[in-house]
Amino acid sequence: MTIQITENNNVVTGVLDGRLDTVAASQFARDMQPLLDKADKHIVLDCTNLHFISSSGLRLFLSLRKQTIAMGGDVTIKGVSPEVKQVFTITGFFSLFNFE
Amino acid sequence: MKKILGFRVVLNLTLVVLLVGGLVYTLGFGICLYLARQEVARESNEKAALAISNIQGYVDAELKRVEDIGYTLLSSKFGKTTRFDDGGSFVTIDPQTFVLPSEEEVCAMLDQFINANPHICGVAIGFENFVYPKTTGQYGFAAYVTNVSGKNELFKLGEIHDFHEKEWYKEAAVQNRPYWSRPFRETSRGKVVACYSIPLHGIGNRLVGVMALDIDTEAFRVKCGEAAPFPNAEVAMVDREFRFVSHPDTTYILKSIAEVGTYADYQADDSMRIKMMNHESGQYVVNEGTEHEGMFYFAPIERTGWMLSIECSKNEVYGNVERMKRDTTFIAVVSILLMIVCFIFFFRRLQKVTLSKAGIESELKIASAIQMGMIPKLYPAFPNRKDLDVYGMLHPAKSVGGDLYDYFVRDEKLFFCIGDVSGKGVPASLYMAVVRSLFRNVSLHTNAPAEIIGGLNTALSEGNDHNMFCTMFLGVLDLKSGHLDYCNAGHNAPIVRRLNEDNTVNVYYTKPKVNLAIGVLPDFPYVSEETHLKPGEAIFLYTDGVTEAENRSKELFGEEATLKTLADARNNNVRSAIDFVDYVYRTLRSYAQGAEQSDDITMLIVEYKGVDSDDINV
Repeated sequence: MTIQITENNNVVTGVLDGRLDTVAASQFARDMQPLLDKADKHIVLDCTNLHFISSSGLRLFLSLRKQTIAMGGDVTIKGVSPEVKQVFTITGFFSLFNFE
Repeated sequence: MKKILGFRVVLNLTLVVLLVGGLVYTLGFGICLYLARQEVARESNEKAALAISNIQGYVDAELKRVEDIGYTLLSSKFGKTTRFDDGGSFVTIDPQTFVLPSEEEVCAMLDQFINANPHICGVAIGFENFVYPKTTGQYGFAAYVTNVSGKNELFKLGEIHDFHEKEWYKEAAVQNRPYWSRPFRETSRGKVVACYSIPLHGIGNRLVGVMALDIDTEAFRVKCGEAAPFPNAEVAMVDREFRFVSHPDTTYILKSIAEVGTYADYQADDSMRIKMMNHESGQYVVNEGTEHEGMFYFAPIERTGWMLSIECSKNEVYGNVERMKRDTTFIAVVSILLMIVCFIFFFRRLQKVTLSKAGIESELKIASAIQMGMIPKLYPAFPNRKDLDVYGMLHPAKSVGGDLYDYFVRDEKLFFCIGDVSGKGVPASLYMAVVRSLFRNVSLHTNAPAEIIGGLNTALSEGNDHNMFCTMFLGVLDLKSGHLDYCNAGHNAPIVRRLNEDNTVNVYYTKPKVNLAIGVLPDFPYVSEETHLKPGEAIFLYTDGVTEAENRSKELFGEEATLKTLADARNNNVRSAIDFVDYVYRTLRSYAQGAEQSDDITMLIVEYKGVDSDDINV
């Protein structure tokens, strides 16, 4: 599980790659710290290559959302696969994020 | 107990490693030592052979020089020398030219000879009585000149004793060939000399006299000391009668082997003695296994029939090997001690880790027991009720987990729920415990699922800094009517088993309103829904540990397979709630093919049997 973070014109993009399961989540929590630091900006999470997300992964997305609300930014998720999207749908998280 | 067990295991491991290491080390060391000894033995043999040929060469050359000088003198003063291949020779007086010298002339000749040949320490010439009939000597005429501390002294032996009976004269005369007499201590100076006698012949091969030359054997002794292959090697020479001619200890000189006691004690092969008697060369290990063990080399001095021998003690020959052995053993002992120290150090650390791990494990076990104690496990759940069949199962992936289910009956209503806390392990289990307690508390005050969920949500959203959340499906079943109120908080859609008009079974996924997982938004407006269960109908609740169970290829079990399993269970005549859940669980296990369970597996089935359950026959 990796995340590559780039910043361009007030838009911070994180490209996710791999399976965000419980085991990967703790490392991912550290890797995504730069995004939390820039929660005042428009954050785009590119989930095209995210193959799986567990509830621990959702928790991290939730943290990011909370932080952006606190700091005035926003989160947009793009390119989610049907499998990942279903997890968002089942849990009701789908309504919490902007999807592209 | 765990501590002792761990200690034993590590101790055994240590012993095994030490034993194997020690064995390998000893084996390697033994081979090295063996090879080193072989090499040293070979070198020692070479050195000894070199020393022997060196001494042999020197002694033989010295002896030959004496012989040659003797013949030169006789040839020049008396007559023609004839020497044979076997070393025998004689000197024949030529009657045509020979003029017999006077006694004075003979004495002067010898005196001159000694002066000219300093390494000859004495020269004698004696005649048969018919040669000098007018001599004053009682026993005939024999002159002997010897050098005593730089000054020549003349002895007329015929005036002293019957020299004809002395070995130097008699043996040469009788054998009629040149003769090396046994070394003896010369009376005038105490030197040990070897004496070479040459017979002198007249016409018709008649013996005329004998000339003898003395040579000091001390030079041989010095040479033996110089040529020794090892500083403390004992290089010695014995004569034909095994009396010492040369030995590092001068008190041995002229004493026999038997007298001195040496050699005789040698614990060696008899063949060694036979070889020495026969004047052959050889090398033997003597006194094997005792502290006097050594190598014994010997070879003949052909010209005189003496034997040259070299004895080297084992300690001297193998001194370096022994030192190596000692050093290596020391290093080995130190290494093993170091190893033991390292092991003990390592073991102590390991023990600490093991202990703390064991502590955590035992705490987890207790936590697991507490967690399992929170969820209802008895079956039948309500032995006195015939309108209901409920069974739940919770299998955490780790000791403790974040899944939960719960149910209880209040006011003829069954309150039941299933939940899945985000994450796994201890954090999830703590949250799970909180959720379960809240469910029990809040459910006491209201019958509306959305209100219960809302209450839980409000409580759990406060101060939720770690953004934990919990999905939950909560239902309230009116046991009199079969009316079911429910609220889904972001949980997997339940599966229901419905009965058609014709009593056929229909198993399918429901599509409840999703709402949102509990603990995310404090003010989320949860909405209840409602349906109706006919007697014989059931609702199956599960967590994603069921639908996302993995096999060895990491493939998920899937929703379709879950649905099919439930349908199959019915077809396989599985009836009771407990058998139902057990059937699904066994299907999951066989699907996993032994793969490790990746997520908590939780199932809850609620079957409504109706007030008059006896009528139901599905």
